[in-house]
Amino acid sequence: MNEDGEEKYMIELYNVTKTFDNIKAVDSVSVVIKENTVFGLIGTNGAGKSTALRMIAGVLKPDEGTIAVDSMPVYDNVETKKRMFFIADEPYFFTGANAETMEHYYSSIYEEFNKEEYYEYLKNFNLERRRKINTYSKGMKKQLALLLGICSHTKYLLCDETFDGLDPVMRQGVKSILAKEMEERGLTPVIASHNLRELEDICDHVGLLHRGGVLLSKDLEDMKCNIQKVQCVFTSPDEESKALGGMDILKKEQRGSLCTFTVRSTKEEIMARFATVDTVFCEVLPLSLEEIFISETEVVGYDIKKLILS
Amino acid sequence: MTSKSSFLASSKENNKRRIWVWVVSILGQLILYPGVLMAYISRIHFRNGDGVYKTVEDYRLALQGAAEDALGFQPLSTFPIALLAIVIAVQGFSYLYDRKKVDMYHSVPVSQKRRFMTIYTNGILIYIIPALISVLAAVVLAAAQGIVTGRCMAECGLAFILNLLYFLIVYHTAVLAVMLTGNVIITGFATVILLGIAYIAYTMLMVFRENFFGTATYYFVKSRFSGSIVIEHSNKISWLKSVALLEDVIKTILPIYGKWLVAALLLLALSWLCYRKRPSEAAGKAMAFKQFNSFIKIAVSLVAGLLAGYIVYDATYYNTVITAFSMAGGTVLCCIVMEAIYEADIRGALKHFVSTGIAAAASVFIFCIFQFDLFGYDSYVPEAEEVESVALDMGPYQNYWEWYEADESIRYIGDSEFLRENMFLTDTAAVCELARKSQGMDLENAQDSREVRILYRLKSGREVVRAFRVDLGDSSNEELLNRIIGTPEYRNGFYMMTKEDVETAFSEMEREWTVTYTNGTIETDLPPSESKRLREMWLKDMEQFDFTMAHYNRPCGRLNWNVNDSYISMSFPVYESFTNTLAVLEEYQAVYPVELRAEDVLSLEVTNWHYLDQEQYFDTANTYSYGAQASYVDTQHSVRKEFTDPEEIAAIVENLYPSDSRSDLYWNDSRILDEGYEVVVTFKTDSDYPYKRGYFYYKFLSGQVPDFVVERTAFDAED
Repeated sequence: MNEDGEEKYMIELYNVTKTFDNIKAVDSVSVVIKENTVFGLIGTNGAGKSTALRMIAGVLKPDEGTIAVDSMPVYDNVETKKRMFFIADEPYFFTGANAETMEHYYSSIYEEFNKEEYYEYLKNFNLERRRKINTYSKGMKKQLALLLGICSHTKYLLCDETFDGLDPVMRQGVKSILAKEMEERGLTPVIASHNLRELEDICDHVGLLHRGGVLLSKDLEDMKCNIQKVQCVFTSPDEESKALGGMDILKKEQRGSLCTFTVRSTKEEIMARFATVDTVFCEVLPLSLEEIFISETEVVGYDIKKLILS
Repeated sequence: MTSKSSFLASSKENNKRRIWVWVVSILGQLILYPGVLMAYISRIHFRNGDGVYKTVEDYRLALQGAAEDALGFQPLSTFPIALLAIVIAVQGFSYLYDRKKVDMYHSVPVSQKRRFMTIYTNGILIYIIPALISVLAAVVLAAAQGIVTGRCMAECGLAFILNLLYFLIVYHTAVLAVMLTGNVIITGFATVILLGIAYIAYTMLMVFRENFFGTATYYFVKSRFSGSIVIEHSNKISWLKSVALLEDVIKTILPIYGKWLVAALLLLALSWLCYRKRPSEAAGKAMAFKQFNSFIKIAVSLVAGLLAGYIVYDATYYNTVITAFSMAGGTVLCCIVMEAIYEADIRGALKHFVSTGIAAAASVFIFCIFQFDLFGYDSYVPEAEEVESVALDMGPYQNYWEWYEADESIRYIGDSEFLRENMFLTDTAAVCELARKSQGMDLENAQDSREVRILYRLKSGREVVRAFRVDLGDSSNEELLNRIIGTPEYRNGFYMMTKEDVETAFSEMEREWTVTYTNGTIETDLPPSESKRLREMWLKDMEQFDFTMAHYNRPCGRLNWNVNDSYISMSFPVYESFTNTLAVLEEYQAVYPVELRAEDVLSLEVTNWHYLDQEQYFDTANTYSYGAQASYVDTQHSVRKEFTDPEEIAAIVENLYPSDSRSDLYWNDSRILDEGYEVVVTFKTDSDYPYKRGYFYYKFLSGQVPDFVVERTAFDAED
């Protein structure tokens, strides 16, 4: 939010298209990433996540459309890139380099690079500063890339599949650091992943990419608040009709007398409605991100399980 | 202090990742300068131990020469420097081949300009700093031996500058190759192609032109850029190594390298443009700019087609049909290979067949240009009014040379170079008419024809060179030839002695020189003090010189100016009508008739080479001149007879003419002498004539071999 209380979009993609050898990797994508949120970019392999992220990072130039970061163009714009740190899906480290070497390089480029913090994090993550990076495990390399990105003190941290391969303890550690950085200096991480479950507890906003296009882009909280799962045993079919009449039922299952509904509505509205009907049992349950995605994408005709949960 | 984002900080970081290239450059250049110097010195020490050098001075001069060779112009350094330039360029920008590296480098807040300039300037430093260190180390080593001369230092400085300019142009070419390609192997191909394609294309076109066009000639063509910077630099360095005085050639060489610098800067600008426009996604692909793929494919394939055509043309002994198919086939094959490379897949070889078809059609079209002379190369004669002046050569052969006053060193000048610089015929109408009449005529087997090579200097500034044969026996050509040859412009452009400075040079020369006159048999020394008068008389007599005179008269002798202990000499014909010249020569009793006196001759040994009888030994006898046959003749089948009978001798000598090496001074048909016979004359020892040797070589005048000689020297296959 800015001083006037308006939402401030910091990264904006408008009708962005990128084609490689006649294959549209990103097709007319329009996404806005809000300030001080964690944006999750979800999609299968080949959905266009990496391409989108590389365009946001200024590595690739869009064929069509515009990308603006803080209202400035990105491609070959040093001022914009000073605000971003891009961690590729396979981060590159110099041949024969160690954590110190990489610090020397990045601290020569990012003016705000915090060396003390970096070495402190290295210690906390048990990464040896003088050990050659090529002897690190895949997860350790990702940790190191994340730490370099965090300590560069850029406003945006673009992570491409960075959490893939981190063990739960490390994930938790990184999450804590991200939360701290977001709170202290307004860091905005953009995290691309093919795994929905990885992002569930991190993201505030999620964009789902499929075949180069955006299937949906919503605040996670909004999605969670607006879709509910209701388990209920009605006393009679009339009561059921009375309860569900006029409600936006996305999905309905019945096992014996137990009915399970996925309903697009707030918890309060549902509770209010069900209070007026006679039920043997009624409970409103929170949906997992996975369930929300299944419901949302099924509405637009996609089988999400095949896309990102398989 | 430098800020974090300063250029120096970027440069330092970049250099950390280029250490191995630094090491290669340092080691390579240490070998190239101090290493080579030490090797040369060791060799001279070794040879001195073997007593090769007779005096201490010889030894010292050898060491100084070694220092000049090692520190100055090293033709062999051409290839290591090119290789180093390519390695530095490729290593510097090799991150562009790798997506992971591109992701990192292109996402960090460093502008394209900063990144390019950092890598680029570091590349130059990687060459220049080790080069400076190595040269300085070699100079110190040479100085410690006391063998550094002024010439050595001058060569060292000039070589350093020229090598740097050469490095730059190869370096920029390699950088451009990296920008155009997406992986190191293709970059290697691209660098070789960029450095060599112009050379191959130019050479092939010249070869085709020479083979297909009857009027094509290299005569009068100024030394041109061969198309390969590597070959050009190597040639220039070799040439500089042989030059006596550097200051005389610096004015020549520096403008050439100045042009190279301009070319290098253009390549750099092009590289920068490509770097700016190069998509990051090109990493790992064959080519970075798909839009140029077809153009590059066609260009490279056409050159490959020309090369294939040339090889087949030569191998099939000028079979034009097979050559045409080979050119098209070679072009298509190259297109297929390039498509497979572009696609990194053999199955992609047949893609884009339209451009392959265009290349094949262009290849056939190029062949047709040569085969059918589509642009009228052989029939081209400029309009007389378009021509500013003409230089023309139709013989006879002359020696041309120039000398340097400082050390009186002398160098030969090619005849085409001399004529180009000195002959400016303005009767362009006569030349163009002669060309128009003669071009396209099949005079190869004409009895009395001569090749004429012409340089048209057009008013537009363009120069056109053509060669054709003129029928000297065609009386309708005589008037035209007189208008061309019987002019002061022709004489001044053709005879070196017409130049005032030549006489001056002789008269002021410290080296010994002589003037002689010979009738082809007897040679008389004349006092050098008469040189000026002889020249003046000869020039006066030459005013009557024209084609008619030269064609219908044989010289009765020739004047020679010779520099002693050298091969430098000039010969000028003297005709019987040159009364002024002959008058001076008479004063010194130098004039003897060309004809022999039978009473002076002891014996004659006549050899009949029987060329025609030996044609069975020559598959293509008709394509060779007698002279060429002579070099192949089987001496076992020649017939040699001695004639001692005074009557026979008398009958023979009246038909003989001296066969000395300057028979090319004659202006009429080259076959004025019968090349089928050779006559060795042995003189009597009591002859009145001052013969200096016991025998001389003569030839029969064409068509004047006595019958009894023909009979006595007849070929008998059973012999």
